[in-house]
Amino acid sequence: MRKIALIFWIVLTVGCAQTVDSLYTYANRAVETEDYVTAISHYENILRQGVEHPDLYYNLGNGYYRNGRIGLAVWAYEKGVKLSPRDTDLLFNLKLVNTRVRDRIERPKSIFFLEGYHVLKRSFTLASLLMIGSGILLIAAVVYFVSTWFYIRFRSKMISTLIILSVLIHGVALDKYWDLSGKKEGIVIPREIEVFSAPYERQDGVLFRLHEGIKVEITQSQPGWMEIHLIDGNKGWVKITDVRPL
Amino acid sequence: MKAASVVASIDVNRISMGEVFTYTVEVKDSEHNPEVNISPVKKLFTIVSGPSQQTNISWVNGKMTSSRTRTWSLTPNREGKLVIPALVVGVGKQTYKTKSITVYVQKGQTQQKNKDVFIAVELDKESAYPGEQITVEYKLYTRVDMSIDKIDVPKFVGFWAEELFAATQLNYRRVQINEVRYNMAKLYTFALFPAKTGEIPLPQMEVKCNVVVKQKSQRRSFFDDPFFTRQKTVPKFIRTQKKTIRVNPFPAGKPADFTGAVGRYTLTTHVDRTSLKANDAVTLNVNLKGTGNISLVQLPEILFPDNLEVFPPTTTTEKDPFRDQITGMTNWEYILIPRKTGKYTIPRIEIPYFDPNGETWERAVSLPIVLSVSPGKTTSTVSNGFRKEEVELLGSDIRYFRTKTPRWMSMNKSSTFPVIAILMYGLTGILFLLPMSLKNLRSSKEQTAEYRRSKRAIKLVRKKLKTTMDDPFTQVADAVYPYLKDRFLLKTDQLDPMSVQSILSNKIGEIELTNLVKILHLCDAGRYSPGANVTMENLVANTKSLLERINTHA
Repeated sequence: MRKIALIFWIVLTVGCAQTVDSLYTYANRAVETEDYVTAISHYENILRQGVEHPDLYYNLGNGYYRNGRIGLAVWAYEKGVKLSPRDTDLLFNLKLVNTRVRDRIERPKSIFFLEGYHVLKRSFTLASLLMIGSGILLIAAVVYFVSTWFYIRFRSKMISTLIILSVLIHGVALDKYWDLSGKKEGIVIPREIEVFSAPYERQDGVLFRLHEGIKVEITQSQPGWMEIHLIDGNKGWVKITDVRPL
Repeated sequence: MKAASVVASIDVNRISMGEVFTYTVEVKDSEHNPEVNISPVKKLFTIVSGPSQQTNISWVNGKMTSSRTRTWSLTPNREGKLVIPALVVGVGKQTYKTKSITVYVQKGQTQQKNKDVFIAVELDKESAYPGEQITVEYKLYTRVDMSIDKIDVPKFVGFWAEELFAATQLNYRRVQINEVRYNMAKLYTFALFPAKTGEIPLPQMEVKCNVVVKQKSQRRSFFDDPFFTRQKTVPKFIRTQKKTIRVNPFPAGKPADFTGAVGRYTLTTHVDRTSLKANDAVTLNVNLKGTGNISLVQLPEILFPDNLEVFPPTTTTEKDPFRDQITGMTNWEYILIPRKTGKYTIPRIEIPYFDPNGETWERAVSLPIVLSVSPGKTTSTVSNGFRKEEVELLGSDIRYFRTKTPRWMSMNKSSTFPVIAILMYGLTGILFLLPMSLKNLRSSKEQTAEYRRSKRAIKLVRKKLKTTMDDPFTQVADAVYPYLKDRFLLKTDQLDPMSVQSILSNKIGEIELTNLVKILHLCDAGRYSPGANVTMENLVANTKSLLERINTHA
């Protein structure tokens, strides 16, 4: 029984890979003829197959941008940046599309070195942080191992420095992990949405309006509604269809 | 106290249209000023000025007489026999009634030669287009000595008026009108620009002046001689003639972007430099020169190119004061800051205007200007909430699609722990633990002095117990105690049978311990009490074998 399931799974993945590749080719062909609607539907289809790639998100974002859907373009680029945080093309296009976002909410200023820490945290994925941390730890172990047979100068200093560095990187990785597991974010998709004070639609309950492309934090959800949090501290409830989670 | 009396009077009762007479209400012998309700008079007469108030108190032969007067200057509204009605005058708490007075008003004398003093209104044209200049001159003509007290400059309703000339003093010139000699002085010149079409009445100007009149004195003596002729100054009000201006509507063909410029204009634009660096400022001067209603001309909105920051213009208007036709120029100074490099074209500016002389529609057009902007220093200017880099991004496009088929990642897998990291952790653990365990086996124990001492201890025992000496007890004690000290790390004060038994109870076997303690007791007894009968067969050999056993088992 297990064997059959395994074979089925392999066939399925291989089959999917083929269709995914062809979908991607179709989509890129549609881009060449500037048929962005077709391209977008193909790209979204690939995502529905359960696979992803920074390049896919990049192309999807470009397609949405060409189609005038700023909110969805921001969403795709943000997704891509999550997978590949130092991709210059992705970062450039995200920055460019963000200039078209109507709401300009200023992040409250934080301390300089904290800002640097955030940049560090943003520009590495959790996996790469773990790789770097474990790699440094491995170097320390190699130094230690070699030193049992050969004399190495500043052996203990080297090893302790490397271990401290590795512990720090693991700390960053842990922080990032908490962020990823605890924090849910989303992008506003419609041109203009109303943010309500409570999870039901009432005109006198409209707190403020948001426009497409702005990033919000999703703090809790109810059937049909989710509570969002803006970086400047404002909170409110929006319809679940208005925000696409990252 | 004498009762008060109230009398109303006028200075002349026979006047012509446009002339002014004084109406006086006088109260005698009263402590209060008269309160007069003048409103019934307003129907037939216009109040030119007043009321003015005067009080005279005189003492004659110990008797006080007082007179309080109120005076108005009136002018009739129509011809004929007009009656100033009886007015109710309140003095203190009492009320009085004046008598009615009749005034005969003759037809207005248009023939100015009969007048001693008059003001002429001269228009350069009777009809005009809206916005076309009409020059109005006010000239004073007089045959008698006079001085001007006050001039009421009218508010030109329906016109935009600009004062071209205002007399600060009267400079008379001699002129002749119908063989009558007059002294003429220019009072005012105005440039009027009609604001609407139709018949617009020109408001009248009123001047109050003091005219010197020769008074016929009663013949009193033979000294009656022209030299002694008495003169008197009389206040007089002069009003200008009524005039209307016909304002014609514009002829057909009015441009859609017409903003009201009438006259003759030329438009020029000028920048202080045409090549500059980004973020440097350049001054654009838009200059409108010409004749006409230049202060009313508005600049149409200029369609500046994108990425060119424009500051609101400063406007300066200069007029040439030496001409009756208003001539001058208006300058709009714009400060422009190009934010990006490249070529900028400031479009041509057009101002449509109406030329009333040729009765045609014209356009004042400036030439377009091209600015070439080279890259300059980057400055962090903030405009409309965008940072500098974002402003630069506004003009650019996204980077192009990627067509290479990527190696797809499963969505679930990408979030799990990387395999390589796990391998590296494992390798790290092995590398750290391997040398450590080796050390535990070998080097760490080998290298301590105590280990070496304890290892050496048994060798010493073997050496010491090789030969059998005369005093076996001392020989055994000398061998056993150092051995225990080294092998089990005992301190010197613990080297007695009791301590040894308690400390080593867990470390060596029970039989060995009892044998060891027995031997130690035997040695002590043998050494310190020689009289005691203690014997032990093969003590040295037994001790040796016991210690060997302890050493291997412990």
